[in-house]
Amino acid sequence: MPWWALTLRVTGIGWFIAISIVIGICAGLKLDTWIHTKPLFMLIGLLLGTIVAFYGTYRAVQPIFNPPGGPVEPPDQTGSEGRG
Amino acid sequence: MTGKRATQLALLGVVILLVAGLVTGAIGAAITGRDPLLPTPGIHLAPQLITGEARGETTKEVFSTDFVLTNTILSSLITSVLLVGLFWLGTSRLKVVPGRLQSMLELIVEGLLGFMESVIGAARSRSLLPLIATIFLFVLFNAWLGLIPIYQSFGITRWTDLSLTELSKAHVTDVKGKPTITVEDLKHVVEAREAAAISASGKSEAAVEKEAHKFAETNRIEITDAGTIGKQLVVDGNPVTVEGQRYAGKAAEKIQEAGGKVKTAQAGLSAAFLRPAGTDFNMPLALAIISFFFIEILGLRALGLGYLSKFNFIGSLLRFKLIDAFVRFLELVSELVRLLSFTFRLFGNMAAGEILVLLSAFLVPFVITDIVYGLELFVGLIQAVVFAGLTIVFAAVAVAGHEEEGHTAAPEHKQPEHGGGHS
Repeated sequence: MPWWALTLRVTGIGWFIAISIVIGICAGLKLDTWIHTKPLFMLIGLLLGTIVAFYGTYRAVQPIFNPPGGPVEPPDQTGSEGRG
Repeated sequence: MTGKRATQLALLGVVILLVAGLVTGAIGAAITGRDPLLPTPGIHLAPQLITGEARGETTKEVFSTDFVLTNTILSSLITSVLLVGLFWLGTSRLKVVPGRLQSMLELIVEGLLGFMESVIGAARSRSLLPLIATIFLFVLFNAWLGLIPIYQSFGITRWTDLSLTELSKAHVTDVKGKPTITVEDLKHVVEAREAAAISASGKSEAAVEKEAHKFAETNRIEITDAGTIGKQLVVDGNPVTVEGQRYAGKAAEKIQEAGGKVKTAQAGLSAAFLRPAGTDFNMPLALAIISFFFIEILGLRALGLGYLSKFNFIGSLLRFKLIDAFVRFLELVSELVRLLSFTFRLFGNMAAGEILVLLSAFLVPFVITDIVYGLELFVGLIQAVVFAGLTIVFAAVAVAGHEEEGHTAAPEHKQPEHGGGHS
């Protein structure tokens, strides 16, 4: 994958972290109102959301540190840049 | 020398406009203690109806049919027509030596194709180009069309006649929905406001008295039901003036003081016919769903049912591979979360951009607005690139078969295990 595609993927991390934590909390709160266990599932959802956020971050940055096909091409010598 | 002179003049003009913006805008008005020249911009996240009726709302639509058409849908249709027309026009008479339009379109398509080839390879990118290019151009044109200055000015103001009784029932209610303001209260409000409005227009005291008395006798208020944008009180067919607008604002304040509820206090267009579709939550969501299914189907087609194995956490749970099951579960969840993060990124950027332009034009018009406007042009382009780019990047990840995924899968499945051991 070219350097900019990796950059694009990293750009998405912010929203990913926010959304996954919010979803976790919201789902937890919803479950809590159903089963009447007020803070329990909210906390579990928060934890799960945070874990998902970290996992997503890890998956997004992993190809930068550990690229599958050798190191990432540096931005100045890509032939693809001229086309894109 | 003349060039230098021109630059100086231009700079002077910019400074003058900046000062004028500071003086005439709402910030300047607040400092000097005047009322702002412009009405407060109404900010609405929900799209407005052009036809059709909203569920549970009593507002009347502009044209009465059951077919629901919102201004954002109309805007997206216009974008589509524009894009189709542009490309049809540009490609109807293809030449070997392209004309201006054709070469521009070729530039766009080839640019996108090159962009895709570097991510997903030449073999696939040709077949995937239509969808990715559509997403890119649609998001881009939606954002840029909305920035055309007169684009959002088309609209219609609806006038609904309401008696005071109807008004006290329909619009002035407490939290539980019971009318808290009587007809008498509303009459007083109208009386007081009308007196203020008349005195503001520079008549003599006696005339004001007389007029106020006359209006106190009216038992009919017209409310220009300005839909979601605003609501305006007009007594006995008084024309919509600046006084009238202020009048409306203060009347709402009084109603609120008395414990009533008024949706919004400012007058405005009842239904703007056009609004960039990106500011409606549904358009980003629809695009995100399309992009989501596109990626999943692409992965399924490339890898067969084996594609689903990376989400199969139940299978590994049955084989008591807990960490493996957890990783696969996370994979599944992050796939679903991506759907929403796509949506909110586009929606957030578009909606925030519109509000930013609106507010900057209200607070400090002219120069600052131009800067924000330029920023918004850039944001539109960036969002289009990000949406299309992320779709193709994730498609590449989904398509990346075992020959590549197997490479990364080995350390990838080990490392969370490592982390799991720590916690």
